Amino acid sequence: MNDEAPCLLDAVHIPIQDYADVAEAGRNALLFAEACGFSKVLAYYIATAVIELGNNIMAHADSDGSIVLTSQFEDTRIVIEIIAEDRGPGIFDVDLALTDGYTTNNGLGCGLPGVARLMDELHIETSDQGTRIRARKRR
Amino acid sequence: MNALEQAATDRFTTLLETKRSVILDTWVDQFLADWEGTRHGNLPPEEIRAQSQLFLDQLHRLLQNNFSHSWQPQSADPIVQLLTQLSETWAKKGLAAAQSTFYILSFKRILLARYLELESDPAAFSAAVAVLDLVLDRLSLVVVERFEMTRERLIKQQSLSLLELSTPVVKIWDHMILLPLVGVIDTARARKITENLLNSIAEIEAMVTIVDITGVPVLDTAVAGHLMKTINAAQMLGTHVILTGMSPEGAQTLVKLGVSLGDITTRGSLKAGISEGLAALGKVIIDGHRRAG
Repeated sequence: MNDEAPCLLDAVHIPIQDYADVAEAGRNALLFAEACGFSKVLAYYIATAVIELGNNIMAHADSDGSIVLTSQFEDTRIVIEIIAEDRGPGIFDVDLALTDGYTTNNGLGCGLPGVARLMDELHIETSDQGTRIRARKRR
Repeated sequence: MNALEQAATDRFTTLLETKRSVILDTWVDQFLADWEGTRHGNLPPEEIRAQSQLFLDQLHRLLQNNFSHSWQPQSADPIVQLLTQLSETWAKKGLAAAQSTFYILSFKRILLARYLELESDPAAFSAAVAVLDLVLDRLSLVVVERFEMTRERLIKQQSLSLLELSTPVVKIWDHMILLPLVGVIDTARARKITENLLNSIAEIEAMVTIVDITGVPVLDTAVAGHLMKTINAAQMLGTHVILTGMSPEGAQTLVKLGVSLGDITTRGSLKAGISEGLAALGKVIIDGHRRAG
């Protein structure tokens, strides 16, 4: 493909088992987005989204999950995709989870709805076997 | 143990008696040569020599006393104690794990080479290899395991002391304190920070508290939540809290996340925060030079 494209980076894969892993994922996301040519603000958005999703894995999925970052082309634009997967009990009510102020762990209740606003797209697949969240941001 | 293995064990025992000094010299020299150019640490060669000598003695004793397949390293074995101690020292001195493993593995090679000089029958030789594998592989596992344990303990200690260090509360003026936050704030740290801050506020009777977040890499909802709780608690003690050092990206992200900081006073820079704090205390900064001129 296009060799000059700055985003043909290896995907970043981080297992999430610990809050230290979440911080590591956030750091990696910031570097990854900047290496893909995203502006400082957008890179910060992506890193924050990664940390929110990582914290969710820690809080709701018994610390068993992973986060993968990839970069892709969409037409001529670069897209970063975050995939956060876990084998937790799943999200009971997705619409409710996307409502501002709703929380089950005494948090601020704006993590997941916040991620929806920080990113361009948010897809949630969930069952009692686990949850897979795909979030995309275009440059 | 079959007859061949028993014969090999006996031969090793003899080798450790008759060729002791040659084996020791080759081993220590090879080990030190391998280290050349890497981190020697402050391990004096004499110390390695003395330890290696002890190792040879212990190995000799082990092979002599009814050595069998069922042998497993026990923490009470003198040879295991020797190796754990050695591994611990090396781990603390910052040697690589590969180096301490190489220590045992290079010894295996030397001993086998000596053995080959005496006996070249393939069946006997493979029995010898089996015996050495049995004892030295298990011992090298002891070394690796202890090495890892020591390192892990060091890391745990360091992160604990970092936790202590990274939450300083600084008195910058009478009744004015500064809490500079650096790094990732998780629940454990947030609790520690709140505790430290509230104690200092009470102790110094702080009327102004500046919380500087220049060093916080990413402001997510968890961090924002911790921060708000800390600040709310501080306000309950009657201090005026000023939040400084938020980056433009951080501010935009918080707005996107839908986090509102409520009625907390914020200033862009620490400098602006300090002058705001001084004003709140009724202090005025006067440029001494300008007045003199």
